[in-house]
Amino acid sequence: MPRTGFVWLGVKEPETIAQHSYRVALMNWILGMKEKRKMNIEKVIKTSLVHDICEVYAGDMTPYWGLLPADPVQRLEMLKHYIRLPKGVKLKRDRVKHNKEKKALQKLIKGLDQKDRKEMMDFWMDYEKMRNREGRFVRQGDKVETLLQALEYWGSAPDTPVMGWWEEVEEVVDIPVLRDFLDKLEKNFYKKKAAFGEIEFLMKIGQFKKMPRRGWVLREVKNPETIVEHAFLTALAVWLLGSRKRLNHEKMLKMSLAYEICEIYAGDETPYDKLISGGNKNEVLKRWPKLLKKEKERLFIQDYKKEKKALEKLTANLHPRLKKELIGLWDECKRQTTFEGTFVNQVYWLTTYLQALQYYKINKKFPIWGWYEQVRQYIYDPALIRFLDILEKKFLSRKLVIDPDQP
Amino acid sequence: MPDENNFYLTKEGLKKIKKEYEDLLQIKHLKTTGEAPKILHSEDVDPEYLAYQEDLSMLDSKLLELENILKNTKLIKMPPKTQQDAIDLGATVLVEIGGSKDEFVIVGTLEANPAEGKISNESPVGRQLLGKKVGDEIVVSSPHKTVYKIKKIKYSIA
Repeated sequence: MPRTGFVWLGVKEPETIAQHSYRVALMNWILGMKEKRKMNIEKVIKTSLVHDICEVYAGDMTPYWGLLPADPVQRLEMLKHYIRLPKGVKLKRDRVKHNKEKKALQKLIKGLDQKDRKEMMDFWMDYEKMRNREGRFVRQGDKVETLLQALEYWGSAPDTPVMGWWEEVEEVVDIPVLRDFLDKLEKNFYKKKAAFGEIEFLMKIGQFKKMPRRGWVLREVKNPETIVEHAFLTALAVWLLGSRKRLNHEKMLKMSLAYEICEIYAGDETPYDKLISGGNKNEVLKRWPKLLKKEKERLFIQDYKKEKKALEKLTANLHPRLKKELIGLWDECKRQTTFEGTFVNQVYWLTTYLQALQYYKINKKFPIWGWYEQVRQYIYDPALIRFLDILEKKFLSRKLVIDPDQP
Repeated sequence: MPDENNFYLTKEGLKKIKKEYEDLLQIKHLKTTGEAPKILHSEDVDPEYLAYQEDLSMLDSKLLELENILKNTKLIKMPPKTQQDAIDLGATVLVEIGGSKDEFVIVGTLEANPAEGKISNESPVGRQLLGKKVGDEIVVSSPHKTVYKIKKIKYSIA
């Protein structure tokens, strides 16, 4: 689902709401840790993840909703500036938007159990009404991330109007850490000072927003899910499926956001890559690759080293403490050395399978068997196995017991 | 001029914070006077006891936050008539920006919500507007300069 504001501006392949929400969560975590008065980072991440999900049903209502002229030239002219309205009109429009979005969120989360439903609604209300420090931080961080994205588009297409976003942040953002970040953005984009530290890191993540998952590209899926969209879904799944686990939830959320970022430099390799040659692709993709234990170990070590090197490169200019945290989170998840790492790793595969099942639902020729086999080896947490059963009942008309190699 | 160490609240905003504080105190009282789950003497972590402790520590941190706000609250008051020609906290300001009219109230950071027309006194726009009078202009110089012409100032503090 693309972001309306960028669609209206005519941005080619604009970012999606999931891609935006992902970087909002990552950015708010990183910048939120710098706040002098400590915030609850678990809450900051959850609020960031949930802030736009009502748009599944409500659509993406920007401040311009219902006001833009149909004529594209006039529309573009209006979009050059932040919308200006009398206070009473603002209040009325805000109420309409809020009610529509609240209803949409209620519809989206109605199937969850009461505790999760309440938590999601509470965090969304914190954001909407800026009821606490975390909600206020996410609300302002959301605007900063949008401006950063607009500047990135402007960087590659200088006729992209960005003034409206600047006008907005000057009225909305008053948290010192975010103001400091805005000053740095200005220096980077207008005074051509090289990006460094968090800006450099978040801009690299921005380039990564559009990177499709290799597994779907290999299977020739149209408009495949991107790595960032998958990480967003994994973080949400970790939140909900892990809510009853007596584990460190902040750590698990951070892990879900950080686990795949190494792929910016390491690439998104799949276990199939080394097996595909000549015209055997379709045949290879039918099944989960079967390898000897030694070969698996060799491939794991090779993959581990490559990803670690990539992560070290990506985080090179971050504060040493943050760098250490990011690498540590990835390591725990990759090697499954802690309960948190083990759980997030399994959820990663579960959300991959969920996406595969969704592709299979649309196209019955989609090779699902490989995933079906794989999750049976990779997922062993009892709660996740129960969820797996529910998924398969929903998406598969029957258990896949017929070996696809057999005629 | 507002002091950055204080939390500026309207009467209505202060009422809301006080109510939230009292409600949370009441919840804490109910939780701590009721029967708390016991720690089981086993190697397993008792989930019920942990959930109880988590709730209590979350409540405590929220209560501390609210106490700090209440301790450092400065009520936004209507300025004397002779000073109502200048923008201060609580003023509703009508401005003209590039030919369009916009209107907002200047409030403290805790009550700010630009979508509802409430701008924080600590935002660049809010900060610059403070002290200005009708006919004055402010220039907000983010990379793109925006000129705000002040057209009207009024006070009606709740």
